Amino acid sequence: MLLHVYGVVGGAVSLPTDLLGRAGRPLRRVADEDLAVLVSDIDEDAHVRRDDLMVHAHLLEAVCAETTVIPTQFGVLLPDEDTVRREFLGNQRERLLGLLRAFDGCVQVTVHASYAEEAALREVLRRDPGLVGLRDAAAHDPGAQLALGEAVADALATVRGEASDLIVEELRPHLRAVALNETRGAYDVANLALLVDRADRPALDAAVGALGRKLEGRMNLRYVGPQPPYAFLEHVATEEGSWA
Amino acid sequence: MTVVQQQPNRYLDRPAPSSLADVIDTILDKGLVIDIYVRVSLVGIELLTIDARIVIASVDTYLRFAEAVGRLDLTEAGDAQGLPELVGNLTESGAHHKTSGAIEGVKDKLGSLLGSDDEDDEEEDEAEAEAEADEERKPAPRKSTARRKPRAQSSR
Repeated sequence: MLLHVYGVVGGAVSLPTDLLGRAGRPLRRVADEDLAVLVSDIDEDAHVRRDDLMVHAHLLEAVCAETTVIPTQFGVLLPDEDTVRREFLGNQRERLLGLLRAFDGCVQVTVHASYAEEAALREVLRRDPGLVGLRDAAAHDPGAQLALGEAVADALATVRGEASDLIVEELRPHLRAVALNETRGAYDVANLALLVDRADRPALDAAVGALGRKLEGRMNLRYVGPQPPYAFLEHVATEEGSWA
Repeated sequence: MTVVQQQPNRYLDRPAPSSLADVIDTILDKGLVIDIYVRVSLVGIELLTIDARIVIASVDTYLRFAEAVGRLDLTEAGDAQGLPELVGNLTESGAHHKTSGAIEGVKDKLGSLLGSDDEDDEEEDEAEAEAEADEERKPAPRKSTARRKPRAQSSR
């Protein structure tokens, strides 16, 4: 039997009861006065399935709805409670206390924005009427297709960047910090990790909702969270413990 | 290339739990790691979304853009409202002008606290290599394919 480690919370905090970890085993704590490591039992030969990933993530999301949690990367397994105490409550003690202080009262949410294809292309043509000429030329000359496509790709990159900036500006009043995660698709505008004070969550939720309705039909927004402060962990200097 | 039917932006007033794609971006990629641990084998996890990454600067993509632009019916007015106006309407309150300075300060501080995190990167590479090695040893279980859910279901 091994212990699967989910993350670390303050020693005194109360958690949602009856949380289940991987393989339906109950979540428990390995704790001292200041820190509590969240673990559950897992068989040594247990396979990892998608459900295991989802359970790890959703368990942490349930915890961070209540309190600040420093997440461990999926896949940290330790042989027994003594090792958990030594590694987390001992060796990582100052680092963990610093991180918990730094993120006290904060939570991460994520906003994904992607342009509807037609809206994006119309915006590109509206901005640069020269592209309409290129388009007409390409209709009769297949050789001009590549030049058109490249010009559209460049213009799209500009539009995506500006749209991302506008969304950030829109939400900025409610944020402690923002991190720009990498985007994937050709029409993806932004993947924004937002660090927000718990007290400001209702205002941020309302702002995201209003933005979504405003952009409806042009952009699709997806709003995810609350999450542990994944995108901000590495930005906190260990010894500093506070940056905001 | 088909025109993607956009889902309406409903249910945005509260954030939703992570989907599988979100999970891959977060728990496999970010989070605390410690020096000594048993890394779980990642056999059988199909990292679909990573493969789905689109290379935007490619001939294929250029041709797809050209084709999509060519299909647009420019005699339709479409929506004349451009992006800046669109969002600008929302920002008239001016509240953000007061706070933006403070947030910039936070960002600056974030920037200055950025240390050299090369160790973490190395660790990740090792973990990935390990996972790949494991993958070679054992065949991925078929079962996980059957468990796949349509993406639409995961974005509640």
